Amino acid sequence: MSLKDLAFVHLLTELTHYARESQSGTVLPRTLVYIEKMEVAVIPDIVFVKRPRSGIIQKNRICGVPDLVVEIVSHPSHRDKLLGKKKDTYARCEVPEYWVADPVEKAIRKYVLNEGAYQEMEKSRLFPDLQVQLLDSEKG
Amino acid sequence: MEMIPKAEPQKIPFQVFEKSIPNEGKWELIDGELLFSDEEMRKVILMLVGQIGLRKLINILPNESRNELERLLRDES
Repeated sequence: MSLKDLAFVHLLTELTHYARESQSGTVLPRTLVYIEKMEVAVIPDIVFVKRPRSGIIQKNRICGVPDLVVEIVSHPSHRDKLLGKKKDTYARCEVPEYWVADPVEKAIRKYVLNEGAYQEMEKSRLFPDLQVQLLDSEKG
Repeated sequence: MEMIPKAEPQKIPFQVFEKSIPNEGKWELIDGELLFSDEEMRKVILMLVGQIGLRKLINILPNESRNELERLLRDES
């Protein structure tokens, strides 16, 4: 399994467990997200939709803006894409939180939307108590 | 290693297939544009055209596009 796949499984497990325990919403892996008014159709690695907004989850896609998008870096040029065009797009679509997990740097950058722009934060607003370390998943 | 499209269809070697899958196999659209880099786009187009062959590509193209292609090729030479 690649570093990216290991990070993906680890993050998906942790987020799903947290969301289930707190009954805060739904975590979905690699689902088509279609935001019609912004002409955007993307397939993020992981998305989270808060419970009151679960109506945007449809049979094989999400029609609307998820509350959290998580993307995982697979190689250096992919990092540029995630921190460039994709980050700009998610901010424009007003995705409240965007995480970029980098299994090589063992880091998760958490961006929270603030007045239309992402601000890097230490803690997530949606998952404030969640402690995830990519290093542990690789050892496991 | 990459495909060089010829008139007739060709098989895709695994090494080409592996290196030509764009954007981790995800087809994503932002502002009406596929989220592929120029290099990813070049590789995937060469692979697809190589697979079907130039003859089939010309057959697939609508008449208007064929005429445009003909004109562009003429201008190039």
